[in-house]
Amino acid sequence: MTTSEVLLRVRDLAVDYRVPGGAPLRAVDGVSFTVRRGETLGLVGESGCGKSSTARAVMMLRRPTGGRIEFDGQDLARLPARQLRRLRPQLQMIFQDPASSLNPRRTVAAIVAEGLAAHRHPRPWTRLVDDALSAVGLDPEAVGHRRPTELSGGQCQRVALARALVLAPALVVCDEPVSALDVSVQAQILNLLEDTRRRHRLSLLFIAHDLAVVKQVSDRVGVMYLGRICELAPAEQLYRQPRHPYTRALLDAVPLLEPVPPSGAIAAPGSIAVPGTVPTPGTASTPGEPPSPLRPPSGCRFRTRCDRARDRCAEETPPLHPVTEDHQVACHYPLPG
Amino acid sequence: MTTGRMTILGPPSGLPAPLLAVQDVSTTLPTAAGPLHAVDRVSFTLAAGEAVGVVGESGSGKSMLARTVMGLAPPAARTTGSVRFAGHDLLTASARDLREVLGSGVAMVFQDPATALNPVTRIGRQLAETLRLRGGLDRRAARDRAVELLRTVGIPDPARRARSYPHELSGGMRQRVCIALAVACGPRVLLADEPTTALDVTVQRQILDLLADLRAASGMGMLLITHDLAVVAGRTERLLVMYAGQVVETGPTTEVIRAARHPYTAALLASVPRLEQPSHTRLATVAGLPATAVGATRGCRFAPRCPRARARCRQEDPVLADPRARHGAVPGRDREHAVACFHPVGGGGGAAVRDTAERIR
Ligand SMILES: Nc1ncnc2c1ncn2[C@@H]1O[C@H](COP(=O)(O)OP(=O)(O)OP(=O)(O)O)[C@@H](O)[C@H]1O
Ligand SMILES: Nc1ncnc2c1ncn2[C@@H]1O[C@H](COP(=O)(O)OP(=O)(O)OP(=O)(O)O)[C@@H](O)[C@H]1O
Ligand code: SF4
Ligand code: SF4
Ligand SMILES: [Mg+2]
Ligand SMILES: [Mg+2]
Repeated sequence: MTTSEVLLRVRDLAVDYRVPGGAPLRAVDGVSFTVRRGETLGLVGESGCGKSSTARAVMMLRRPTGGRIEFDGQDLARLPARQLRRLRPQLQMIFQDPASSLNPRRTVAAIVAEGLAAHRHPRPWTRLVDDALSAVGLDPEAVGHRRPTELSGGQCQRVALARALVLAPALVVCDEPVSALDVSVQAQILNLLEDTRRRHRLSLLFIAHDLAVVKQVSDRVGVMYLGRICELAPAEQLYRQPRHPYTRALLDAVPLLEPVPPSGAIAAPGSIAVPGTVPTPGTASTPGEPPSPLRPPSGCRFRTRCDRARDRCAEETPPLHPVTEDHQVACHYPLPG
Repeated sequence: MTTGRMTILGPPSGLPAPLLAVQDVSTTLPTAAGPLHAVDRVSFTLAAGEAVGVVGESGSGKSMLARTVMGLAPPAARTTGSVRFAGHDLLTASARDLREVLGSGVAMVFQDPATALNPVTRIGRQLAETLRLRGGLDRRAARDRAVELLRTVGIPDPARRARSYPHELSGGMRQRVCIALAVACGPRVLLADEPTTALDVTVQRQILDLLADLRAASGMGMLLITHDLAVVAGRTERLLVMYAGQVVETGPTTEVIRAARHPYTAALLASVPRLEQPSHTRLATVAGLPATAVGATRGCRFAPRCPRARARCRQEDPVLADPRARHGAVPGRDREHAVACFHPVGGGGGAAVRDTAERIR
């Protein structure tokens, strides 16, 4: 991968939160990934695993505790405020709750112009605002003068996207952009994101907990667990042949529209016999919740719920390492490929 | 029989007397623009041990249906029809009878967990009080059982968590506490309104397994409301598809999903991203805006968004009927596949769905 293909390179990102009494909570712990130009990188994982914290750090909405965030070759965490401000328009974000991320007292047109005002873009803005609204399938005449309370959830999410697009960004971070929407509205917004990415050659960092939604839009997908990435691979490959036990468990728990009987492919013939474990991929049980990020397990953080765990898993942290080109796994005993 | 999504619990054959019989129920709410038909002539039955799913877009009346069945429609609402349970009509029962029936027989998991929990009482205590008052347990037994229930719904460290106030829990945990409260006294009917929407897939699976266990063990009947079609697919025997307050399609869940006949059902199914589809597959969408029925309406409510609509659709109301009968003249008998549409999509299963998806796009 040449450097010019890479738009965003995150290295060893750490994000801490101060919590009452004692050590800080490390919500993101050594996360590394890249986003290429024109690519969508999906991030999935259970509630509280650090997806939003990662997103906020990438957006520099919160200074990371450690690590580097290289955007177009520049480390955002070390950039002087003035230069960071100049870069800002290129980095945009949309959020889960479309209604509450828009100012209810302003009109749609004023909301879309917010970024232009903040970055002192020369007036007039009307044309830019109208174009952005049209690009997301809204009629500027019909909705430009309305307020968010007069719009549906799907329409609000379109406005949020228009507000991001008007600044001609290179990267749009989408934090659960469709989780609050109805399936049919969700489909419209997902199609819109795909069209927009293609048309504007955008890169997307797309965060969601719905595995099917993430697969739908992503070129590559990273799976997070308790502040770390445990698997990162091209979408098709990750879903077809997960190598990390946690990814397998997540996929197994997804309810299917048309349930299929378990197939031989899942039974993984020729799996490496691991003494002392029951290698039953496909039935990996994940009882209970992820452990508290305040007291994460030693070694591999998934070991308390992993049916392949052995002594080594408690002693050594498995690093994220490539198992094939472009497919990285953080596990001492990955599932057979 | 509780091994995840392969769980199949058919209703006992020979159609036993239903536990709950909902007949022609309507709920109308006054609005500035006129009466809103939030629930419009809905009928269904629920047998012991059976699970019936309810799907439909936001605002289609799913929650209002459940609240009406519980006798908990908003005070301003006008309700008609009947809801028969254990010899009572829940719509006309006195407040006292209703309390008794609800206490022992019908329980609900509310969509918004905040409304079901008392913010100033520790969750263990709320559970224990319910168990004491309705389940007749003594103080000590109630406390132990409360902790046990919290464990059952997957709350880690339940003895300690029992001492938490609702605001000290995550949204997903609160939702599980609500489920524990609802099943605490072994209801015969559970109305579960989006019980797993705030939960991660692994926890969702645990909860759905738990509800399946309760059905198998105690014959609890369940109405499962969700916007997640995949959840009803694996967990219910029959399905109601609602649109603008009405049931537009009903039948055995697998049949409705494999061979949807109503254009709306077909469109809904086609808009779901599927794990087995390759990345970047374009999703089908339903054009137009969600509908609500206000005032007098004429014709099919889906007509403005329906690719198959013709003149008749805008003039006459389609009624639920067996899709195989010619001219839709045979009223749909309960439990059979029935659709309210003059021009249902072909009965060829997946192909029909895709055909409609194509057109809707
Ligand atoms: N402002 C904060 N102060 C203290 N702890 C926080 C704060 N924000 C997040 N956390 C904690 O950091 C961890 C990661 O949270 P984050 O919001 O990044 O997770 P997430 O993956 O986005 O979860 P979700 O899917 O629920 O949105 C969690 O344990 C959370 O409780
Ligand atoms: N308390 C209320 N007063 C007046 N109208 C209401 C009230 N609650 C709901 N409605 C209206 O009744 C209709 C049906 O709402 P309902 O909550 O049953 O929808 P739903 O199918 O459960 O949607 P969702 O999937 O968003 O939960 C909607 O048009 C809604 O706006
Ligand atoms: S490192 Fe060990 S505990 Fe962690 S996922 Fe791999 S096998 Fe399981
Ligand atoms: S009755 Fe007509 S408008 Fe309504 S769903 Fe059927 S074809 Fe479409
Ligand atoms: Mg988040
Ligand atoms: Mg509802």
